[in-house]
Amino acid sequence: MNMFAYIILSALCSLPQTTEKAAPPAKSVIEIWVWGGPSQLETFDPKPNAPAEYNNKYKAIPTNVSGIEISEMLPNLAKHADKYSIIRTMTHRHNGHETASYLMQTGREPGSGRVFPAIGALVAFYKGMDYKGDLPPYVILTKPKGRFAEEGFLGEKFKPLVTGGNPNAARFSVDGITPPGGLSQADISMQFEALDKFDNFRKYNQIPALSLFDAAGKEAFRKMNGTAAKVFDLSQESDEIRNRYGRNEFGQACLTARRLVEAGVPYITINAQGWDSHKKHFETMKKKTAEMDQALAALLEDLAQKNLLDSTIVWWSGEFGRTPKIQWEAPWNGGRNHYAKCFSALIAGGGFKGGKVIGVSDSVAGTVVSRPVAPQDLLGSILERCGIDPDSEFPAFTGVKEPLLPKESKEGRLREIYPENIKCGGEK
Amino acid sequence: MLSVKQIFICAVILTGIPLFSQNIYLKSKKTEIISQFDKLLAELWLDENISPANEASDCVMVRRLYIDLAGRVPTPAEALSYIGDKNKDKQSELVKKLLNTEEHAMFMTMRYGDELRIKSEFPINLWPNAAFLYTRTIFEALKNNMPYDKFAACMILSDGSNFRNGYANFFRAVPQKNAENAADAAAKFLLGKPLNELSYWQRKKFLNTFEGIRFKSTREWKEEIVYFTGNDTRQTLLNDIVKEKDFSLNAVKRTWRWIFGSDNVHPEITDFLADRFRSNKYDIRDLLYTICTSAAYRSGSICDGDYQKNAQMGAVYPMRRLDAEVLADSIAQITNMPVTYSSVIPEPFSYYKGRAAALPDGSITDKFLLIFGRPSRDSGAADERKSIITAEQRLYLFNSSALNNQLNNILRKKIKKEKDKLTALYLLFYSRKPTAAERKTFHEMGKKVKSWKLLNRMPWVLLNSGEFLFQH
Repeated sequence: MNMFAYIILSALCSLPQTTEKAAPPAKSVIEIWVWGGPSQLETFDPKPNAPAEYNNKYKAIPTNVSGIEISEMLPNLAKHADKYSIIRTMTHRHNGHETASYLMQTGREPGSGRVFPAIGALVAFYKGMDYKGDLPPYVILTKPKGRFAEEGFLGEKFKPLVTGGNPNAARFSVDGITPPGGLSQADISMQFEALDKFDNFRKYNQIPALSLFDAAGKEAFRKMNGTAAKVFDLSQESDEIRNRYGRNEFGQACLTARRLVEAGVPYITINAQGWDSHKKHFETMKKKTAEMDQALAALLEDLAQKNLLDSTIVWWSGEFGRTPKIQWEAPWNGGRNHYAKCFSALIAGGGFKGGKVIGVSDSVAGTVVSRPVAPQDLLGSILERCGIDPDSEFPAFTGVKEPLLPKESKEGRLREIYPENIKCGGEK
Repeated sequence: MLSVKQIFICAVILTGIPLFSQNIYLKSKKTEIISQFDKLLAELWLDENISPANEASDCVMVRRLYIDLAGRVPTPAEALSYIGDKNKDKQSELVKKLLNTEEHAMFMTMRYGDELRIKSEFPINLWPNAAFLYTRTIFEALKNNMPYDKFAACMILSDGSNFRNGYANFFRAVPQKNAENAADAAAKFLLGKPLNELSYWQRKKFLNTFEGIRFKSTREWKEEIVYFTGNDTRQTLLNDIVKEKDFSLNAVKRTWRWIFGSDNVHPEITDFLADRFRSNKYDIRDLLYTICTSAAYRSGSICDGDYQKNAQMGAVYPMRRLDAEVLADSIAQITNMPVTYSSVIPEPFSYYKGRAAALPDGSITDKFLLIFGRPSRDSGAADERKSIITAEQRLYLFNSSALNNQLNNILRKKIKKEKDKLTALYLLFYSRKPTAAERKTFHEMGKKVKSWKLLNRMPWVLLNSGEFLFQH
């Protein structure tokens, strides 16, 4: 609405004034990065009526929102459709993993000569200004996504902490936060005492580089013994909760993500690998979707129960989807290839409305019929819900005089699922 | 007959100097003034009323030379052979020896690669085999000690396929394929300044020269041909630039930065070296030899007075954290556990096992190199390399499981058969033996916590100490 229209409208509606306040911005984001490209047909855009060479006779099941059906591979998520909205018409033109990932992470076409920051680094940058926790503002569980999905020209400081380790192991060992396995508390105290005694350079503290070294050491020691390490101690959760998320790497990573949200970390990525199902697609999907379905459903339920869902955005997407037609010929033997023309994503929480479907794909989930969603529309919506204006310029120190994201597409950001403004009625 | 040791003890008693008051990092005398360059330094110090650091001790010097010229700490054998050498010219001889190794050429290739943005894909879409060839081409030139003016000409005058002529990637490894980017790359390499910092006339000259640059693809995937249309005036530009003082000065400042960590240095120092560089036919190795045998280089890293100012005047060797690649390679050498680096950009993924300093492509990396500020090679600017030490880095060194696995290999395998394990560890990490005081500390603490337990954690202790993590 432009300013002029707004003035006229507000003049016309001189009703008993209920002031409207925008819903508060989200505090944290959990990104489930489905690296490799998940099939839209076996997840959120099933086509039970398509020929078998497309759906391999997989069915759709109803959800707890009437009119919305998802793949039978996701029975748990079907019980929570009121909590999320499905985007069935994500679309772009890059069918290579790295170019597509760069686009889905930064909203930018590759090849501009600059490495733009990924959305995680952007949120970490802006939200990080108020964030005072011991952990970095951008944490990736558990493996790095590669430089095309990181801090770009924002620089070093916004590089994510990549945990490494296995959250499903008896002790989730996080490189740089928790001490390596096999050491007792006594060993650890002893080695720090020894470091004090043996490091001769401590007495040259007036040399500038060494005084920084000393300060960095003190800060590191404080962080190591502060709250940071406890966040990764999953033994503090009950068995019931741990089992609900699923006793596998992905499930426990989702549980860790919830703990990170509780610790105030603004941006968390779960790098869910292994979705590049060129061969034996259906075997892969059965295993992967079972873990994903259980963990994601548990995460949404858990966040809702803890009253965290309204302030936490959860989004799920790969860099692209997969070819609708199944390749039965050798060497694929039942595989699906990379496919960016039309694929699905999921968004929940942080004020976004649940129980909605955005966009319509054709009868085989192969082309967009209506309401295409460009990568910058999805990313822009997330930024906007975090209280960050996607059209504002990059911070001055970067020297990049461009908006955070390219201009939204004609159909635009996902305003149809933005929260209604909160009415604070009656005060005049 | 009295042994040497007894004589020493007698001397100590007679002169009243307490035992081990001597600093193990410094000699007891000021740095010796030997060459013409040293005399210039000494005069500067006198003028500015600076008291220079004492000369660095042997164990410091051998470590320093291997780190600066070979990109890793010396092995115990290399360290002991230098420390035990009675030859008074051993410092300059080791410099000469190291400058002639392939390892040195490889390490310098890494330094040039940072500046020339040698990396595949993001953000400049160079294909990995072009990055590999470019690296290899520079390595060959440095190995043969190609004069610097000729080296620059190879870049500036290059054309043809970027898969066949490595130098042609000089124009390919830029953000955008156009005259402005080519001119900018040339200005940065030749004069150390981006195009927009040149004078109006000079900028115009550069832009005009590269106006005719063109690129075309071939039937080979991602191969590109660099060629020039119209009147090619690159040779004229090059002839003019080589005559300029800034051409030599830029090479000198770059080299000074590689050795001392910063090019914030008194102009008389760099002017002297630039003159010498020019009159010695742009001999890169001679320049390094002059720097690394100078009084500035032989100075210790500990001094009284204003440290920053002393560093600027070449009166102290400035302490700084080891570079990411040097640190990684040194740890791999000390532990006998080489690391595998990888690139997921583009498919098919690349894997590379070996020296971090030898990685032919900036996209091939690992978590360690990322944390310790290896340059991203996006812009090629010197400040892409981060040499400060952060809390995150110290946390990683304290706690990394990967590092812990490497460290465990030392006692379990590498020095399993050594009798004196404490000495073996000190030689591996510090390139020196432990002092009597350090042995005493070890025994005293060992009594309290059991010495085998303490010994087990000593690799961690030495790794995390300033003496290991800093170039000094």
